[in-house]
Amino acid sequence: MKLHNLSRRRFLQGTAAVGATGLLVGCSSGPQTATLPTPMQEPEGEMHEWLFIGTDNKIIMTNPQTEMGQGVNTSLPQILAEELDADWQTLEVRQAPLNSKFNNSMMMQMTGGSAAVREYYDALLAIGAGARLMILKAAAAQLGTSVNQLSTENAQVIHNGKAYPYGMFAADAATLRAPDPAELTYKNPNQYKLIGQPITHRDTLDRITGQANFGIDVQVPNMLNAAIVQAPIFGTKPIKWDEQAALAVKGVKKVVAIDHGLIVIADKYWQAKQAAARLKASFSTYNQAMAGRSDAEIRQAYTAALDEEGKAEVDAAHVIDVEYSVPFLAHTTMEPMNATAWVQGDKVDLWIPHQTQTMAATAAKAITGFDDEQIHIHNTLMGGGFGRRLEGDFVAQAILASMAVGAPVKLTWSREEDVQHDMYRPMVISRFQVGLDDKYVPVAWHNQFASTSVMRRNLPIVLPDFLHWAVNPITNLAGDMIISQGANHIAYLPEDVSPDAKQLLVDTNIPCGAWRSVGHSSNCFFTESVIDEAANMAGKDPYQYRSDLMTHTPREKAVLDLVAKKANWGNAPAGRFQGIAVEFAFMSYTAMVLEMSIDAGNITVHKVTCAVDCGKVVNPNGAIAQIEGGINFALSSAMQGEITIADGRVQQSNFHDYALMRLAQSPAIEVHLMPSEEKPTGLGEVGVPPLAPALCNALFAATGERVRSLPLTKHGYQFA
Amino acid sequence: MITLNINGTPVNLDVEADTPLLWAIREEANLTGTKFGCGIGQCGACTVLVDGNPMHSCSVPASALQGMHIETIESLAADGTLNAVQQAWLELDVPQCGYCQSGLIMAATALVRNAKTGGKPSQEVLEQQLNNICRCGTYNRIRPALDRAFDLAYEA
Repeated sequence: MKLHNLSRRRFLQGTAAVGATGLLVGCSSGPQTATLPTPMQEPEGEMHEWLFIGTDNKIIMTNPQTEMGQGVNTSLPQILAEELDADWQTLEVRQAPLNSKFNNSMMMQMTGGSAAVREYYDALLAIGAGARLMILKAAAAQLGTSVNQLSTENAQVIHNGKAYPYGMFAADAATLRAPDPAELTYKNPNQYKLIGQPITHRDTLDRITGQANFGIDVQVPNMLNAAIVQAPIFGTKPIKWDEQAALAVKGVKKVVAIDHGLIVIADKYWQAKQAAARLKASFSTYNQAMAGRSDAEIRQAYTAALDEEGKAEVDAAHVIDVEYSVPFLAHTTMEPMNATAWVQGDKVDLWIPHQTQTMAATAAKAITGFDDEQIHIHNTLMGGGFGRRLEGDFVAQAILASMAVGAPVKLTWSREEDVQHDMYRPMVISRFQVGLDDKYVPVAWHNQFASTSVMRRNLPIVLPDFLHWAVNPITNLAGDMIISQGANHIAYLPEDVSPDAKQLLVDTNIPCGAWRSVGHSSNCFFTESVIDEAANMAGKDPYQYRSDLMTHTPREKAVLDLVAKKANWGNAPAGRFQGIAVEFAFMSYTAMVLEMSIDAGNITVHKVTCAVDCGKVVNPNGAIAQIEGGINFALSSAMQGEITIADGRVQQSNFHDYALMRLAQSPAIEVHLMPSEEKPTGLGEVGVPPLAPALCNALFAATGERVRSLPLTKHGYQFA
Repeated sequence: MITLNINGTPVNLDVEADTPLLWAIREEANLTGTKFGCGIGQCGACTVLVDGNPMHSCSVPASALQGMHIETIESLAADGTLNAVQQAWLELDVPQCGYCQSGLIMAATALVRNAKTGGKPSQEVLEQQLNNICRCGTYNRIRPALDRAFDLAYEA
């Protein structure tokens, strides 16, 4: 049996306790001497340890990751329950409170970066195996036998054909010393009953009966409701508003001015929303030096930076010299931003649909000065995240509102606020000078790309004030790794040739953030289009050209070859055209073939075939759902997604002018998961990046037009 | 004060004449399964059935619907049994985040019920009519689930 290492030096903790009502299993990054709270009653609400096994047989797991539709409420429990031999039907799962013991390897409590399974896989296996061993040791003592005479199944210890529920041994197990990592034994993967199974999502029944509780559904006794109007031009402030008109609306309690907007607090949300419309607020005018008044101005600033950097001189038989670009994009989660806060004396409770407890707490600390222990985060289900819910802005607003009225307040954004005050996927302009030798092998790869920085906005939030001066020097020196994702991985170059990707950060007034697949969402479009241009220049088949060049990335080549085979590459039915693309992102390999037809600019995407190697798959049902979702998310944006700026403000405001793809426009999708026993790698975002280049490469095959900027609606194309 | 018939029960609601049905349902009747998505009748997250017809509850004043029969997601499995659409949605494990699914299930329920008199529409018509937005992109499960719902409703 293979012994897994505890990831990031996590150690199990059990503890002795008098009057214990169960076994509470902890796991820390520190030495094993730390103790657990006693007595070990079943935790009410917040559970600050990983696992509780009650004497009444109740088993509760704390999920370090938060559910936003990506299925972590199912996949992560599958891992722990596998080694624990828990009963899948009765296992209870709670979302982690604010507590650094649930931190990821970046020392944050964050759900993002396609990291849930890959970050916590080893730790959850170890916690499950460790708790099971403690139960077995207690059972051996109680039953007068030895551990190796016992087996487990469905939260029961089996001895001589008789089954004893775990709860019988939980109190005794709690008196044992937690096992050493080296003591743990793990199942052989071929014994797995949960890992690898396409289990239905745990929350599905709630989600189809209206019982699922999202942030927007939170109810706290005596809670008030708030609406917000934010300054339409980024960086400006409210200067004048008609407070009396707002207060005249029935139920309205208070109008609170904050730095960048006005919050109206009322008994009911609809009252607050009506009153907000009557504020007729005016805001300070645009007065900053940074670019941001219009798309044209931002493009001009980007172009100036690119021109100043200049292009590389390439000495090769053939040269590709091209410029690509992508627009700003909004996340538009179906559940608009919202947060419920209650600040009381020396503590704050936050009921939030949020991707990171750490960043929500950072926002809370900045306002209240509280410590971690005073901040109680109750994560709800999220109606989508996609990176938007990594931000603290709406949490801070709810806290300010609660403080202003001394009551719990739920603050809900309108869709218009959501579209116009996002942290957008940045607009990027990317230039390439690629040299091909006389056999059309790429032998030089130069790339300069200009973008608004995400890290320059993010870093000051997490760095102490006295270090803010360092943000620009750091990002100038080290770059913004959020934006550059994917630009430096070009699998087609000879092994001794490295891509030269130079990032140029241009400060604009447009707040930018992480948008599902982040830098890959832009860079994969660029690089996989450029290599398609090279294939065309070479007069070679785009798939064969790629595959032939991939000599030192076997897993990447394997997904490429598999997708070509599964999609019947090169044999599209008459009138249909194929495009191909491949990526390495979040440690996984993903390749796609898109098949489309076109009639007078009207595009029908018939089918997308996708092959993914993400190592071992915990839940194929959830994995395939994530890929399908990623493809649809990306297709919607590549076809018609664009946020534009005029007079310093976002021009779009709702789904009538920021259109999202619907059922009739969505393609058939076929997903092939590469069988693998490698360690699990990222999955939630990998369906996004190859879609746009696969689409544009198919469009080139169909029309001969090479589209180098998105969305396609800008070029006269639309969904049929 | 108005009285609405919600899920077969008369409910007295203390709302203004122009309060949208959505907010009357969510904030006065305390039925939070119906979701706010856009407020302008674009996304369908707030879809309820009014006298059997799907309606965007964000865009119609509650006061206009007195005397009509309003159904929300909470009513579909009130007797403890999932309706055909919900059962199909469960079998195909359609939802990801699930936020839009109440509206989708209400709209799909109307399509399935209406087929009792009109027969099952073509795939193309069904897909045009079920045009709610799902940002997670669950469309590839919705398609077979919708098919399955018709089977469950009429061929069981």
